[in-house]
Amino acid sequence: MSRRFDSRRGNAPAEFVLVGALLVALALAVIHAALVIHVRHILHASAWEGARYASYYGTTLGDGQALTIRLINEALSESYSLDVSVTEASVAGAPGVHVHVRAPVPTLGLWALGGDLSVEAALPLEQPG
Amino acid sequence: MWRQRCHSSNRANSGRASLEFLVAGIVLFVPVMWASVVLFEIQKASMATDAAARHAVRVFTQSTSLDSAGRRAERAVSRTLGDFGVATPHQITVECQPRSLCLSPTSWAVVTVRTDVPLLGIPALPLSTPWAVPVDGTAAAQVSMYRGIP
Repeated sequence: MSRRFDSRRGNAPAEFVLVGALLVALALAVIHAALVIHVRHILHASAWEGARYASYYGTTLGDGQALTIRLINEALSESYSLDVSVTEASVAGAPGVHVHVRAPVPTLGLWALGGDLSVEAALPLEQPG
Repeated sequence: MWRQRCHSSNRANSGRASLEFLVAGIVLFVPVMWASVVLFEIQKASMATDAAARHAVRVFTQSTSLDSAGRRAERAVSRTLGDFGVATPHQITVECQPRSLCLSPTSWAVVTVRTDVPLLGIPALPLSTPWAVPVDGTAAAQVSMYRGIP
């Protein structure tokens, strides 16, 4: 009888489940934080690529926007490329192009509930010389 | 006899099992977090060197003189790496093909940007180690056939 009601023995499976759940939650948090950083890097690289392309002689702002949207669609998903704005802006005193991407923060995998992840890139227009 | 000894030693240890599990589990996550920080630094440097090389090779081949081409390519690389947040020192290599006809029409330029990503490069911690991962990006572009013709 005393073995059956020994509190230290009886709790072991329950404690294992509780601690295991905590560690699984921690693992998921680490994976999720990594995913958010990855998404941010992809968005920034895509925005920069669009700015680079739009800064060329023969291209328009729309070409840069299209490239940014295509890169984001290929790397992540189409829900991340809904708000890509490309505008003319002054970059370090020279005329340039400014790309601003606003995307949701991934919630579960790449499925996103909301939030606001904002990255921008700016490059001066190509100058002769 | 043996059963009893074993039983009593189990009883003495039984209360700590879950605490050990918890502490060991959390401690084991430290290298995982460190590894993910380092891997993301490498990913960032990889994207940055690639973008910098492509930008620099375009700037290089669009320039009119070799002198300004080198200067402008250098500036393009440091601006790009700065935009991506890569603060480590970098080397730029420009290779012309054919070698003697740099920037002549239809010649090629190959730009390689290289940087070393330090392991333990966690921005908040002032730690530095001699170990680093070299990351480079290469891009090639051809000089326009009509270069120099207004």
